Amino acid sequence: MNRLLSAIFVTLFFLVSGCDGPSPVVPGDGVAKIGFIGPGDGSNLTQGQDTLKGVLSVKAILPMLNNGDRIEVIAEESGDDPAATRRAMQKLVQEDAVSVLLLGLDSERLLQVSQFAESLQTPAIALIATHPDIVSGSAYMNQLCFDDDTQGVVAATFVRDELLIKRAAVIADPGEPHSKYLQVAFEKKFSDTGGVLTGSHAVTEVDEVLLRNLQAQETELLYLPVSAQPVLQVQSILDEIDWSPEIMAGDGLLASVIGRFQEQAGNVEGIYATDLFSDRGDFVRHRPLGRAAETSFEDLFDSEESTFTNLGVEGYAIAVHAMNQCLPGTDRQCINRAIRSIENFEGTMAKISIDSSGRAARPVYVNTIENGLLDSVVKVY
Amino acid sequence: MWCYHADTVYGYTEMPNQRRHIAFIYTQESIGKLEPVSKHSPGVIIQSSLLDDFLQNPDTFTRNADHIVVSAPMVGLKSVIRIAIEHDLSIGILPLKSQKALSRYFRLPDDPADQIELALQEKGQTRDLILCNGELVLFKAVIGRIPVIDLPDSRSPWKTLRNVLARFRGIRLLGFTFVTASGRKVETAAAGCMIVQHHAGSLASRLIANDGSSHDGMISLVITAPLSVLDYFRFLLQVLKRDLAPGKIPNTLGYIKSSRVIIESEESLGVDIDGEEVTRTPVECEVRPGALCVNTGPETDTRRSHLGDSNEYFNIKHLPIDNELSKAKKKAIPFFPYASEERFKDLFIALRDDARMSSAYVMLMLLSTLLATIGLYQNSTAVVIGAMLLAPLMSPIISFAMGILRWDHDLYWHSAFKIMIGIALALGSAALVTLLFPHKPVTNEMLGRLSPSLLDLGVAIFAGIAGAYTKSFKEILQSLAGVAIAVALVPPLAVAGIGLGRGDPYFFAQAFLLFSTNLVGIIVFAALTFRVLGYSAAIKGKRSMGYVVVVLALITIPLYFTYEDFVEKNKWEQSWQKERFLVNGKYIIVSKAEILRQGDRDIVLMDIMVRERLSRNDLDDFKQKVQTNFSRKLVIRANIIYIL
Repeated sequence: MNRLLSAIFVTLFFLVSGCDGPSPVVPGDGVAKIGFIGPGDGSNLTQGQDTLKGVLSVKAILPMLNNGDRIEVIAEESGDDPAATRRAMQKLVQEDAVSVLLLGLDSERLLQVSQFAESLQTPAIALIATHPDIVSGSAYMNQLCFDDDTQGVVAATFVRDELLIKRAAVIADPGEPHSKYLQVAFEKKFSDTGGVLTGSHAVTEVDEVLLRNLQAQETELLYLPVSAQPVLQVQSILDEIDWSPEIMAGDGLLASVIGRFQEQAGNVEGIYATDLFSDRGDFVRHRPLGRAAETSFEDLFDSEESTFTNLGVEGYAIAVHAMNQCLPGTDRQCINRAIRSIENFEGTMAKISIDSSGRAARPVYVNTIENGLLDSVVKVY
Repeated sequence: MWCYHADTVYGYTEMPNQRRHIAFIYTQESIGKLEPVSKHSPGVIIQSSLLDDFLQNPDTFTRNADHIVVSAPMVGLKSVIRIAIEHDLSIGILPLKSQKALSRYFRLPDDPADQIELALQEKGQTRDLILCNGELVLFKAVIGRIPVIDLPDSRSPWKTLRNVLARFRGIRLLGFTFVTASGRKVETAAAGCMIVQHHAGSLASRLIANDGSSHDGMISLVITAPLSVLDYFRFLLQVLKRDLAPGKIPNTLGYIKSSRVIIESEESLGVDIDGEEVTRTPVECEVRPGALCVNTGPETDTRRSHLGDSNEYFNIKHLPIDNELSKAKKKAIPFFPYASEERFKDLFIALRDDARMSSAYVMLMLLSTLLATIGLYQNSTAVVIGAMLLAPLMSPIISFAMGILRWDHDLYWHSAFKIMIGIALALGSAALVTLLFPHKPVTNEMLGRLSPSLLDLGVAIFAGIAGAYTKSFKEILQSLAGVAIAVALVPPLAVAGIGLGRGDPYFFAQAFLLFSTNLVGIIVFAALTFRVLGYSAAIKGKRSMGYVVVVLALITIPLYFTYEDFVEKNKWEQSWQKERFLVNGKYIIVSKAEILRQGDRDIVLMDIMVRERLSRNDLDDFKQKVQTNFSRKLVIRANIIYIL
C-alpha cells in the first residue's frame, strides 16, 4: 500500500509539473522598432508623457518579440504645429524604419496629419484620439479607444435610463472636434430617447447668467464634453450660485485635472465621466496585462497611473502582438492586417477588438470621481 | 532544648538566672547579621563561628550550646541541621535575602529584627524530617517533570502560564513503581512525582488540600500523569482560573501518603531536592518523626483530619494501570487522549451492532430512496426531507469511522459492507423508478445536486462531527444527527440513481461525486471527532486515517474545480448588476441573470430592460457580446422589459 501511495503521489507530481507555461524566449541579434509620437509641451503634455510611460512600463515586461529580436521604442515630440508632427512621423518611418507608429496625439492634431500618416503606409495606432473621422477611409490608421459616437450615445443613454433624467443641457467646445462630436452624439440620442434639451451652448458663453437660466428651466444635468479647465470654471460658478445639478463629462477628465490642476482635484468630486478605464469598483478586474504593467510602472516611475498610461500599455502590447504574427516584425502590411484582425485582445481591463476599418470595440466605463479616483458605476459593452 | 509539639510541651524546667549558650553560625553572605545578633542577646551567650570553621570542628561549638542559630546557604544550612539533630539541639534560622522559600516554609517574619528575636527564642517546634537516600528534604523532592505543580500558589497566572509553556515540551510518561511502608506496590506511568514536605503556599499543597503536615510522620507524594496534551492544558486552565475543588485530586494527578516510599523508575532519573539534584532513582524516602526542633512562626492548622494523619492513603484512580500502562509508557503524551475498550464498552457495543446488516436496514434504505426519488421528480423539498428522516445511513457510517480510527478490521469491514449494500439498493431503486416513469423531467431539486463544490464538503464536515458527537453522548437525540447525515447523502444518491436510469453519465457522475464527497467527508470528520473525544486507540491507526485522508484529498481536486466554477458563476451573476450593453445604439440593462449548467452547455436566464425596441439583429448582436465573456457555448433565454 505504501508503494501504491508513493506511485500515486509521483504520478500526480509529474502531471502537475507537466503543466508548465511556454518556454522562455531566447534573445536574438535582431532589433524591431516601434515609433512613438507625443506632445512635448502645451496643454496635452501630461497625456503625452503618461502615454509614453505606459509604453515604457510594458516594454520592460515585453522587451522582445517571440523570435528573440529586441524591441526598440523611438520617441519623438510632435512639436508646435502639424508640420512638426509630420516631420517627426517622416523621420521615424523613413530614417528610423519603425514598423509601427504609436500616436499619443489628441483628435485635433491627428485630424490635421491623418492624410500624411496615410501616405507613409505604416500601420499607426491612435492611442488617445477618439474622433471617428480619424479612421474613416483610412487604410493604415487604427484607433485604440472607442469613438466619440459610442461615447456620446453611452453618456446619453446612461443619463436617461440609469439616472432617469429627463431634462439636460450641453455645454461644449465647438472649436474642438472631439467635444463637438460628443455634443452632437449626446444631443441626438438624448432627444431620441425622449429627453428634453434645455440648452446647447458653447463653453465660451458660460457665465452666471447662463447657468441661472438653465437652473430656471429645471435642468437636471449638465453634459460637459470639454477639457478640464472649462469644467472647473463651470463648477466654480455653480458653487457661487449654489446650484448642484448632476454633471457628466467626457473621457480623460480626471487625468487632465490631476495632471494640470492637482490642487483643484476636489472640485470634480461626484462628477460622472465616461472613460476607458476605472480605478476601482466591485467588478473592476485588472487582467494579467494590467497587473503586470501596474507593477512595472510602480518600479519605474514615481507617479500615479492614469487613463493615458493604460492606453500606452495597450497600444504597445497590441503592436507587439501584431508584430509577433509577422515575424521578423518588419512587414508593415502584414502588421497592419494583424492589427485590424484583433479580436478579444486582453487589454489591461477589458477585451479589445479592432475591426477591418481600424475601429476599436471595447467597453466604456461610466465612472464617478471619488477621492481623486475613478469609481466605476457601470461598464458598458 | 525547648521544643513544642502541637499538644504537648517537652522540655526542662526553666532554671532562673541560667544563661543560655547559643552558637551562631554564619557565612560571608550573612556576616552583616553578626552584630545585631550579638547586640540583641541579653541573657544569652553567643558563640559565633563561620560555617567552614564550624563544620571542621562542630564539637567545639556544640559542647556547651543549648541552641544553634544559623544563617547560611541551603547546603550549609542542611549540614548545620544534621549536626544539630545529632547533638539534640534546637535550631533558629536567619534566612539570607535570597532564601524566600525558606522564610515561607518556616513562616519566618520579614523584619530582620523580628527574625533575630524568633531565632534566638527558647521555644521551638518539632518537625518531621524526610530523608531521601540519606539526603535531607526541607521543602520538596522532585523526580521527572512536573510543570505547574511545584510552583507557588500565589504566582500570577501569566507567570504560571509562561513557566508551564517553557517547561512543557517533550513531556512523556515513564514507568514508575512506588512501594510504600505497608508493602503495597503501585506500578504506573507518570511524567514525574513530587514529595511535598508541607510546602505551604504551593500549588501542590492546595491540590492535596493541605493534607500534608510537618508532624504527621508521613510523606505526601504527588504523581503527575497527564494522558494527553489536552488533558494537561485543561488542568492548567483550572489552575489559572483557581477552579480546583478543595480536596478533589485533578484527573492528571495521583496522591500517595505513607511513612516510607521507595520510588523506582524505568530510566534512571535525577532527584531534585530543594532545588538541587543530589541523587538519582531508585530512591528511598523515609520520615523521622519529630526529628527536627526549629523556631518557626505561628502555625495555622490546615490539616484535613478526615483523610487520616498517620494512615497510608492512596488516590491513584487517574493513573494509567494494567493494559493502559504498556500503551502509555515511554511515549510523548499524545495531543488527544486515548481510550481503552474497557472504558467505553457501551459505545463500542452499540457501534458493532450498528455495523451489522439487518432486514430493517434494507427496508428503510429502499423506502427512503424511493421516497426521495419521487420527491425529486415532484420537485418537492418536503417529500425529499421526509425521505431523509427515514434513511438509516448514519449508523454504519459512524461505525465505519470508528473502525477506521481504531483500526478495528471487523468493525470497518462490516460497516463498509453495510454501506455498500445501502448504496447499491439506493442506486438500483432510483434507477428502477426512473426506468418505469414514462416522463423524465429534470427538476430544480435534481439540478441542485449536480454541481458539487467545496461548500458541499462543508455540509459533510459538520454532519460528520454531529454524527460522532451525538453517538458519544447518549442523552443527545441521535436521530437529529441522523437527519443531518441523510441530508448530505440520500438526495445525491437518489439523483445518481436517476442518472443511471436516464442513461446519462454526466448526471450520474456529478451526483455520485457529490455523494462520494459527502460520504468521505462525514467519515473523516466523524473519525476526527471521535479522536478529539478520546476514543482513539493508544496505538494510532495512522495508516487507516492516511488512506481515508488520501481519498478525501483526491476527491477535493474535482470539487475545487467545481467550486471555482461556482465562484465564477456567482461573480458573473453579480457582475450583471453593473454591466450594460450598447447594441446598435440601444442601451440594454441586465436586471437579473442566472446561469444553469446542463451537460456541457450553459443556459443563461436573464431579465433585460431597454427603452428602444430590439430587433432580431439587435438580439443576435447582444448575444454575441454576452458570449465574449464565456468560453463555453451559451444558450440565452431573455425576458425583455421595456422602459416607458
